[in-house]
Amino acid sequence: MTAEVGARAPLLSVRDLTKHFPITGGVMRRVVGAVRAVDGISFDVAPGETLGLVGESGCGKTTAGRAILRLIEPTAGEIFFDGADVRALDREPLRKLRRRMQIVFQDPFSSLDPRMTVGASVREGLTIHKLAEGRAADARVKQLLEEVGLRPEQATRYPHEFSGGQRQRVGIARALAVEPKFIVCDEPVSALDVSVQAQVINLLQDLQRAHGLAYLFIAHDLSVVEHIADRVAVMYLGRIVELASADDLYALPLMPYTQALLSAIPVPDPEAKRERIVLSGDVPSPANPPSGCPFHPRCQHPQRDAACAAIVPPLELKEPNHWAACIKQLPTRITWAEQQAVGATKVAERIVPVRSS
Amino acid sequence: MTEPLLSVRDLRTYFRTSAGVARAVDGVSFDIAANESVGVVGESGCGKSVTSLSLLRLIQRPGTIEPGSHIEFEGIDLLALDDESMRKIRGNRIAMIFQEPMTALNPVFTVGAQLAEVPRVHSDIGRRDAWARAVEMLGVVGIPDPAERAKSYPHQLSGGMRQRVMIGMALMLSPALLIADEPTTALDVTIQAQILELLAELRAKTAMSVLLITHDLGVVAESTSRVIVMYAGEIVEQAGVRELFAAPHHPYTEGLMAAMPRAGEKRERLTVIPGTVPSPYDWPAGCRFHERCPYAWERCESEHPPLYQIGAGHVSRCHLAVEPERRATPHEPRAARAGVTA
Amino acid sequence: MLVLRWAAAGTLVVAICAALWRAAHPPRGATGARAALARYAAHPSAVLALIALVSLYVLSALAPWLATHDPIAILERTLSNHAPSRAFLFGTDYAGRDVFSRVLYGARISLSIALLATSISVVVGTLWGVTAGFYGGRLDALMMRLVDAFLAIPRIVLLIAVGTLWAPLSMSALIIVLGLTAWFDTSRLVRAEVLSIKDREMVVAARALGATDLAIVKRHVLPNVLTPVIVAATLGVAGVIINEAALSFLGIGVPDPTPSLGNIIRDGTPYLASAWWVALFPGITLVITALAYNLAGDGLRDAMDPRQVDR
Repeated sequence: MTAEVGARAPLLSVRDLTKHFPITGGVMRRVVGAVRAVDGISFDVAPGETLGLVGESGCGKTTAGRAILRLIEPTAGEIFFDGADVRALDREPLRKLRRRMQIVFQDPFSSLDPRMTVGASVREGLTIHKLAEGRAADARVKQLLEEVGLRPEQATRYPHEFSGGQRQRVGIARALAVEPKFIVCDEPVSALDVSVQAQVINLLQDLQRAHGLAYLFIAHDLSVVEHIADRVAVMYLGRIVELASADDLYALPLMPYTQALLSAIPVPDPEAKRERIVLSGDVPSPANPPSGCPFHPRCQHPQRDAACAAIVPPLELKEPNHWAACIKQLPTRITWAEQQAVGATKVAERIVPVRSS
Repeated sequence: MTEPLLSVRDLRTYFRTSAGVARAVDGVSFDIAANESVGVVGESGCGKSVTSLSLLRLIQRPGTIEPGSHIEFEGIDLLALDDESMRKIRGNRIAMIFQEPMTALNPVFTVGAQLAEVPRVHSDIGRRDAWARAVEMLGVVGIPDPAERAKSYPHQLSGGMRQRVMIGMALMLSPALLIADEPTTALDVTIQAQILELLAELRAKTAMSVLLITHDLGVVAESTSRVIVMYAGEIVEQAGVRELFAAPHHPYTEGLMAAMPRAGEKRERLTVIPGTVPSPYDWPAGCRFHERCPYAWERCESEHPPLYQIGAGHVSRCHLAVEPERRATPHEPRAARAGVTA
Repeated sequence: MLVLRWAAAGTLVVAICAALWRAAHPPRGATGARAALARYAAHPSAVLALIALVSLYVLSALAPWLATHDPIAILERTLSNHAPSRAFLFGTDYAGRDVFSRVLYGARISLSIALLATSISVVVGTLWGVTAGFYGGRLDALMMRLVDAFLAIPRIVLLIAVGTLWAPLSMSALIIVLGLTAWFDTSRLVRAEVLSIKDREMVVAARALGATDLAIVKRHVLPNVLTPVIVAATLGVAGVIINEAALSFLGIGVPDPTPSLGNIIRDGTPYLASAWWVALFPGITLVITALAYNLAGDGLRDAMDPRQVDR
């Protein structure tokens, strides 16, 4: 999987990023297994672009977001940001690099220090990177608060005096303070009410336009992601199973998991006919993923067979700029002969659910 | 006309703290018929959860259900019952399931034991029989290998399975009414689909009524036949589900629908309801939504709108019902002009 | 003459309490320390405790000014074990010394020792706990096993051992010893808090901004650890006072003839049946002080959480 065809070099380039958490057991605390939270993902983000990363709980998207920033140390893989090899950096250069890659968290309650005023929280980045001192810093803090839609006088208030949406705005202001080029938005609106969500999403889009920011927008809510993202990557059990532009993904979901995911979204329209694909069972544990395709035990593709349990599907190009990981969705480079060798009984065939609009 | 299963009239639940009186539920009235599925939609702070807790008299200090409120279930006045009689109704005739199954289930007992406890609390059934019914219920709610699973502890089950267990517990005694308070909010969307389908199946089998509380309009569209929209402690609109989505009347309902991003419908910018919900300690005079409303005029500021009848089974708490021409001249809501953000 | 001085001292106490009261009832909308003070003032027991402590500290600090007699000077033997009277407000002890003045001076000594020793224990305990909690791993295990080992020894036995080994203890040595034997609980408390704070998202956020470990500890860990530490320290002072009294009672604490609440009690113990006032008054003072610190600590605990909601 290579960088997408485009005129500009990618801002962020991730190759085979892996994060395994060891499981220790027994009295001697030996390593008996691993939780394969992120199991080899690769993608690029261009400057000013929003890449959506969607998946359900346990798919590894939050771990991936933090691993890219080295807030969690990756087990393997490469991360190139703005030309720098992020994994190779020592502590001090990494600290300096942090200015340009920031993060906004999901929980507006826990990500702010309850003992610091919001002004102090926003100011922290300025102090750390010596961007402004004293009165200049105060002015900058006020300007940032205004930019995210808060009143500058509120800088002296404490987080608990604000609502969830306002706290989230403070978190965004804090990330903006150091003038980043790239922000990992880790489920930034999941904890907010619908009407507040809309305000914060609009804010994120406005800021992106104003500052030329690139976002990695992590979420489980597909409707939100479709709205804000240019391209979307779908994750399942630590792997990317589909990657396409937002429009293409929603118009033509190829990977069966994506199809199920899209059909599961409740549509606010009582008249809509529901062709719902209801998956059976629960998401398997990332400590013990199924063999072959991680989705095969729950897959609803009519051509699913023994080959799916044996072969790990590569993420391959199925349409222009549209990748999916499924050996049963044509085209695929896993030949029929190879599939038969591991017990395939059904030929690969492109199947897409019919959607009523 | 048959008697409704549940009849609520002028329910008011207030919380008295040193900061003042929070009028969390401020005059809510509605009915639920037998075998009907009703949705309550609203955002945080609108009073929907407090309403559901009030129905089961689960409100604790400093909250109280104010005198003048009236809740009638199967002909019985629930607010007049003594504690023991109320206890007999909970879990038995009216059951409730919550948002977070992990915190609602007891971590030190097996799920089988917790399920079996329900009939044993309400009747003289023996332990073995109760266990058998528990295993049977696990099967009904779609848990594979129920006899084995009954011996598991809650933390050994996934979120979706725990929610099924909770539903099972609620259904053990075949209640007439199930109150589901955000039952799928904490679940992944594919699991949510499973749970909603399970609830639909169970309703078809048992003719149970459901009061489904959620903030998700999609869930409501799919699972309910009638919708109540709450805002600031009051009902602001009520209608059959088709009617509500086809022709929402109240500007808050309109705003909610416009603020939701919808898969398959790409828009440039989400329409926003500017401003924030007012504080329950200090509901504004007049219409509680007027600061954020794109149609508000002088009347809305001073006159608290009653529930106007818009159509058959469709009511809306908005003066636009009597001055519909105002809808043609929207303006910037006052909250937007003041720059108040949520 | 003396009465005037007492009146002045009393006025000072009232003035301080009034100032605190006014600070605790600011016009609406105060936050931070003021709001904490206001929450504290909502507990009547805590307010009483604070008044008691202010009185004790002010009055005992002004002991040289307020005492009726010289606490050490042995007056005539014939005045030994006299009951309380107008001249000797709390009576006299076996040596003919004025108990009232001794109690005043004794309180001064006991209270200051307690405060200083607790400060030492807070500093040492916090540093220890933060280091162990923040860095974790083997260092943490080593540091905490050491603490466990010390905690296994009953405190009073430890104190007696140290006190006897290094007898006679100078005042500073006594303070240091008391402080260094009181920090263990604090370190465990701090470590537990640090562990819980370490994983909170606000720390991840600070790291994401590029903060160094030191900056994180200084800016985020310490302020959030401070609350339980202050509460524990306040409650701990009570313990230190009792320990010092115990040591002085046993003769290894504050040396004679310097009065401390403990050794005054010791002087009075053989005469409990006949001259009960010698042991009673310092005993009551001790109890009031310990109780006041406990109540104040409770009040502080409730007051210092900025998110406390009333029930």
